[in-house]
Amino acid sequence: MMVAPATIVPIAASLASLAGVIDVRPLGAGGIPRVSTSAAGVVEMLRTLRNDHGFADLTLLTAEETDSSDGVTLVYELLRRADHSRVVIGVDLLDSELSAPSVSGIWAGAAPLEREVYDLFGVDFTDHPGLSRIVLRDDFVGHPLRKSFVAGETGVSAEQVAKALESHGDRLPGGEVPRATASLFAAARKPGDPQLRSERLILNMGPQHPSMHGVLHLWLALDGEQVVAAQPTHGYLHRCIEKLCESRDHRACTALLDRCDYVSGFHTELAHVLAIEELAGIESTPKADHLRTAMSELVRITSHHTWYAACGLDTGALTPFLYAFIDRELILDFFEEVTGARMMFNYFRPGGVKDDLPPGSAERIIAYLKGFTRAVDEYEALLTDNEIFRARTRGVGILSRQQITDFGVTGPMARASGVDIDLRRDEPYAAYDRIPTRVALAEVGDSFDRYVVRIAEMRESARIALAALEGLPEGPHLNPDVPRVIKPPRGTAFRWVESPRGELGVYVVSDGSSRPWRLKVRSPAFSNLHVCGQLLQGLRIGDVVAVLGSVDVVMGEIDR
Amino acid sequence: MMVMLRVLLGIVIMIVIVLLNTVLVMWIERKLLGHIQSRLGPMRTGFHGLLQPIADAIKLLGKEDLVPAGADRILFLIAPLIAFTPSMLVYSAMPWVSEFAGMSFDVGIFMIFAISAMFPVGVLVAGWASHNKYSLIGGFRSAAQQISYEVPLILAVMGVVMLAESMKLSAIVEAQSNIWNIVTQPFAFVIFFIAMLAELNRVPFDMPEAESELVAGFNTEYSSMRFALFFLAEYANVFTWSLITVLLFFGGWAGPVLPGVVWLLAKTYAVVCLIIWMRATFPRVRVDQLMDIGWKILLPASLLNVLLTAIGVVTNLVVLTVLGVVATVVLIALIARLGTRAGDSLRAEVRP
Repeated sequence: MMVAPATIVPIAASLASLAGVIDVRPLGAGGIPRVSTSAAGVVEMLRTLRNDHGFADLTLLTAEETDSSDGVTLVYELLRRADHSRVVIGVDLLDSELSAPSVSGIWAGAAPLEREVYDLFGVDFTDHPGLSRIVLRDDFVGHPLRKSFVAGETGVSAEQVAKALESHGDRLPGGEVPRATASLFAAARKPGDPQLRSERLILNMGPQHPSMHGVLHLWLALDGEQVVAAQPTHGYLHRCIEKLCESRDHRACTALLDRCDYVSGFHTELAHVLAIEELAGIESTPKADHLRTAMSELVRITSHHTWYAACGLDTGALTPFLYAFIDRELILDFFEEVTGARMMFNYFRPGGVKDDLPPGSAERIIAYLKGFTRAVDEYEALLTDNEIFRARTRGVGILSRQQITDFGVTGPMARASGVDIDLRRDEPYAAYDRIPTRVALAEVGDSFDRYVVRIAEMRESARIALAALEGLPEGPHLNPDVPRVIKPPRGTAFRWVESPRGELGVYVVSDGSSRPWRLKVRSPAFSNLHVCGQLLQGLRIGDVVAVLGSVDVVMGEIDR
Repeated sequence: MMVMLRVLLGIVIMIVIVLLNTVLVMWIERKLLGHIQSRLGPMRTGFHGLLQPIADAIKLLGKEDLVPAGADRILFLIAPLIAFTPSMLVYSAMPWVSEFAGMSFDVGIFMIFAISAMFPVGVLVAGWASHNKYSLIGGFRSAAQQISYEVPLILAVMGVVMLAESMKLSAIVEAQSNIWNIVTQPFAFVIFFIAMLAELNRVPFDMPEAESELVAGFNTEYSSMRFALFFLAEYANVFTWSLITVLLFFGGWAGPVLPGVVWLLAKTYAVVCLIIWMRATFPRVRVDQLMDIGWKILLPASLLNVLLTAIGVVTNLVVLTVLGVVATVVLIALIARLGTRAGDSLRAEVRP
């Protein structure tokens, strides 16, 4: 954390003077101030913090059940980029009145996050533009992240289920259009070009579609080839990972979190392990820090390989896919050598990493990384210098700085628009404080810029991984003092890492037992995807896939 | 009676030859794509997977012939035939048909254009009848694309016809006995080749079936032999148009030592490989860019080519070649400009 405990006092002091504050106290060992406020005052407080105190980024909006299970606490986390200070706002809601005003008027990107809280906790947000379920089916009954929810015992009668199934589809049981898509349906009902007397068309792109990155579902209202309204829908890959974690030992959660972002498992693992270490006061070893850094960067390269492959396919080029996957396989071989698994690693542990490098492994990886630039040169020759690719991506899907703050867009997508943020440099974790990170930036923020930023990041990642492995310190790979069962004290920890898609955070609430009371993954791809509703408007069908390719969505991380 | 028999036999032989070549084109595509992409391609069926297309065809024959609910049944069923028939019919206008069928068209190239213009009708019908939004968009794209590109395609051939002073394919080939048209008509060749790729729905103009956008475009709903017919038609067209390219620009069957048919096939497969190479290298253009290239660049260019050829015919062929090369360079520069912005870099700035 860059914020030293001494600097918290002035922030906390200025927070205490805000209107509507119930109390201010430091949150966990990280020293982030936590402000309690009432539901009525939360919008005003967030607006003041954004406008007057420079806390422009809403980095997290989630909820946890209160200790006594009599209600839900809404959690908002804000970030001030200037000094990287963070502040958490908590709003306690009782079951008798589970309702809060929506903050989507301040951050448009809060709307889908609030839908998630509604879906999983049942909190009703007033003034919300379209409150409906987001990862679960519209006809689902119950709110599964409440402790009172028991899977299989929803208290729903067979008739209710039959009725819900009967009307299952685009419409809610009542027959009306789901609120989330109402604006889209309205756009589609308007007549098209008056001279052509054309009609608009609703195209359900996905979830079964070759370029929907797994199971993304896009509602597109089309006028000919042109998109007049777009709305991403997801939840087809929702595996209740957050709920499942609540019934598992802290260390067992890592294995589940691997499956969140399945193309870069190390990053979710790392954020989780850092959070547990912070909660339980466990130190990692220098060697483990270096190994964590090296593995994170290697997996970033493989993740960008997957993106590069998809990016080529989405614009209609076949060969990039195979070029990238050949190289990806080579790195996956290294992962297999080191961790025993190619994708679901389960390698990071609180206090270090599971195993040391096998003999000769470091040399082999170093030798590969030294020749890696040549592979990137080939990728560039195939796409960067291709006129058609440039014509397809330049000036298409331009993301503005306003949209970036409103939707909480992070990672290469933000950097492509010239927003100079990178947690590896700004809030260094693992060994990033010892290995300087350079940040790749572009200016315009179109698909092409997102492409060049990721290409530059591949080269940069190879450099960092190489430095981490070449400077690998001696010593144990796992802190020997870590207890067999980790029972962190009551508290909250919140740690962020820079994943290939942006700022990935893991939020863990401990009730003193060996299992998390609440575990939340702040998914960067979730925010990056929801900005697409705006980004895709006015584009043509062909560009929809090309822009989605440049956004680099991973459904596993979005749905969790 | 004898004439009828000869014609019938000719048709059968012709179709067998064309289909064999089509199968070979499919195999070459898979092998060449494979090797360009650092893999082997089919290896299991026969020598280096030579029988793979046959195995695919047998597999397709064994599949259920599905008609989607809500489809326009009759149109859905005949659409593959509408698309497939012209790909075989064009061979009736080929110059060697007179050898065994005893008939010959004086307007061969004209006939070929007329017949092949039927292919998009089949695609449009398939797209409409499938009762599927992706098919519909694919069908419309195909119709728009093929109408747009037929004009520059035909106009580009005008230059060749002007030099040969005939529309008869054999006359066009004979007119190239001294010097191939590719030398005197480079500009026409570039226009013809680009328009031909669009006509064939090949990368970078594979809009109608654009896999990543439209699932499979117009043939999304087709299965079994009806899908195979579209597939066959497309690959037969690749072979046919490569053949026509050779006849128009590369001196047809002319060549030293070896018999004409060997030269003809060798040149044709060289063009086929070029088309496959394009597929391995290029992404797909966007619909509006496709229209821009067709109407704003290729159409004026092909009209200019008619003018340049007229100048060349009244002066001499050296002038024509020089003019053609200059125009080609300008045309390629124009198309390449599509992807550039003034004063920008192609690399990200890396900041500490």
